[in-house]
Amino acid sequence: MAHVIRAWRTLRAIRFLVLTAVLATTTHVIVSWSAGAVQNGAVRQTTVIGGERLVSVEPLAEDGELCVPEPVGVDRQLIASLVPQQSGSAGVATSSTPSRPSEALRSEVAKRKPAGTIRDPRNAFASLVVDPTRNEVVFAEENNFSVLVYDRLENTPPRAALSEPKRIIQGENTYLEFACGVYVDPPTGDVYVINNDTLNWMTVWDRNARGNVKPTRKLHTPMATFGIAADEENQELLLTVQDDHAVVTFKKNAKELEAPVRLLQGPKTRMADPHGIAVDPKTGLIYVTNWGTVNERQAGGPPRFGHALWPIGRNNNIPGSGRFEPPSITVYRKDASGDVAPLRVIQGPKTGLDWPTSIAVHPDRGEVFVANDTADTVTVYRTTDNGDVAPMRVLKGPKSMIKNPTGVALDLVNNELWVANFGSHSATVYPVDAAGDPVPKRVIRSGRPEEPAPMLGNPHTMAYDSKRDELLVSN
Amino acid sequence: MAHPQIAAFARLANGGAKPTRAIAGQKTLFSRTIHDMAYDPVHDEILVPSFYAFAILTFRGDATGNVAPVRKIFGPHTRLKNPQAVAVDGVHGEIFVPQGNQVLVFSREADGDAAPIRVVEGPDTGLGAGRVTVDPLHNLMITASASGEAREGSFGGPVATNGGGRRRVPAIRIFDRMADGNAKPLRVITGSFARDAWLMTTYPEKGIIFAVVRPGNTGGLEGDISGRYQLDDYVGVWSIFDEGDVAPRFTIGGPNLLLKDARGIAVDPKSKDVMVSDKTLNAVFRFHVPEAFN
Repeated sequence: MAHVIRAWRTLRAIRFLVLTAVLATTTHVIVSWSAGAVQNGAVRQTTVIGGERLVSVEPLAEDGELCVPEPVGVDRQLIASLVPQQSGSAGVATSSTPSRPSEALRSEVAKRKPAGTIRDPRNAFASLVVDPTRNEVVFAEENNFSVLVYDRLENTPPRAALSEPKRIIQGENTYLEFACGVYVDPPTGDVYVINNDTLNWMTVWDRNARGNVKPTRKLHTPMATFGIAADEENQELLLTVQDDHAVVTFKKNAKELEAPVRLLQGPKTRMADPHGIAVDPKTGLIYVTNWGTVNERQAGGPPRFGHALWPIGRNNNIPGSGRFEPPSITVYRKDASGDVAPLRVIQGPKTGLDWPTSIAVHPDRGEVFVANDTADTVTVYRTTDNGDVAPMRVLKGPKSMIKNPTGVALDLVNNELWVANFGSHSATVYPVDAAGDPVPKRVIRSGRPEEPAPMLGNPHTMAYDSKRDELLVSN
Repeated sequence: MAHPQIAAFARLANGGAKPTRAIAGQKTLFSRTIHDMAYDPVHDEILVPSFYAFAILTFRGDATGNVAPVRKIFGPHTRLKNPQAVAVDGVHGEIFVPQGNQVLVFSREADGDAAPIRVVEGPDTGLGAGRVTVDPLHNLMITASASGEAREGSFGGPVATNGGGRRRVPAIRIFDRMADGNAKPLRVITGSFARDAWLMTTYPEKGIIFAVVRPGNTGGLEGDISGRYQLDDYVGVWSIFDEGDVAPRFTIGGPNLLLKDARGIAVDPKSKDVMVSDKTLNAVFRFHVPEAFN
């Protein structure tokens, strides 16, 4: 038995030595080849390898998938960064259709409630008008799609969370969405409201309307109306139209699909994304604030909605004709129509205009008041100003509480200036001649001062910023 | 809408949260409602179309406040006309702008009056393109018809027909990323679900398309608000390999749950979250749906 074991051991040793010799030779050949011993016909020095040894060999699967080896030194984080939009892990493409989930799982996912919600529950004042006849102030409110009516002398106590409005018009019957302009008819107290870019209707309510009610009447308007002003002498309403860089005028009592009576539109007007509009009844002039982006369009085609005086629409735009202009205030006769040049233009670096969103005229003082959204200012000019002029007064500063003002209005009876602060759930009231950083006479708040105002308004597109773990949301 | 902006929120923000930062103001050159934007994580940039100035604006990824774009594509050679949507492929350095019956492709580094480097258009494309997204891993450009807007002719192109006068069939169309000219899509996802797809994004690693679906949206243009407030919107999840009349693999946020007028969509594959905005609810929702990322 012992010699059998010795023989087996001897044979095993011989096998081992032979195998080692064969492997060493094979390894040398492979290494020499891979090191480029022969390249372009020239003999190269082979690399001398140290103590590397083949440890084991496993056969390849006959019909299995080959794994593509990851390149040496690959930075998986770099690969991840190359996967656009959102990926947080390595970018390896899939190459086949994934299996479909079960109906039970689909149903469960479809019913799953959100894990988080970003929404400002407070009312956000976008625009306002004072009704001194009835001692009320009326707000177009964007956050919750409403019209809010407060007593003119409402003044939210410092420790109070907010002031409740006297009346609210709100709900799915109202045709209100992102209401951005409001007007009150002096004799009747009827409330007129225009939506911006999601519902093309001006709505009119009896002054006592409240709740989720249909408007008393409504009027079809061009898309993206923003500002509203009245020519009381002629009982007409003038609306700015952002999309069409135009002002359309309707009879005040127009309803449903009635046509405009006048159209101001064209390159000579120098309107560019017009927002606010105000009428000076003393001089018969209108003032329009412009943000500055504009394009050109050519006339032609059938009248839109059958109305000859409907603005030329975006389908007639000329590709590549867009441009950026500085913000401005353009001035016209109130009966200007067609493509006419402004009488005056306030524009330039001295003006302090910065997203001039709302405008009001004080005819007796000969002053124009402008709310500049992102400058947190109200700038005041003479009605006769022209060109690159500095404002005669500026309201700005922490005491003033002016924050993203998108509405400005004048109470000509009580000589007060009102500002709707979209960025702070508030409206603030000042003497009409206030300047600098004045403390408001009164404040109406719809939220606590310390509460943030995210200013969501028609939240549209989103993107995930993987670098900062942030969600980007556009209005 | 009184105040355009791009606001940044912490991913887990809730309630009336304060944005960590916001881009807004005269220098930004923004105009009303920003209908689309794109984030390029490779170059850390944000791209925004300018609807009125016919421009594509590019901002630094950390931009905040009243800041100017670092680049802007605009001018007569661009062929841009009321651009509403944009996608960026940071890997290959290209910008995609859908524009009715065409998709314009620009170099990411283009600045000023730059002509597109490719234009996808023609009867074989089947476009209407309302929205676009890109999968750079599978080399795909994916368009959605945004049928509601196509009905309105919002993009300036012929309503409901493409360049060859054929009727547009609303659908999700999957093209080769390098498609040029009158290129046929590789695959078309059709049917009652895909035809109402709107804004989209992709998860390239798994070849997944996330699309906001807005059935029966009227746009509210002509006074018809019937169905405007129904809970019929949702996020649809498809594979890039889907083809034909295929229902989404998953629906998120509905139908018949929460969403009334869904608009934007974003996904975070790391946390398996899908974020969607709703215009009517004036809110942003975050859904945790790990199943949809597999």
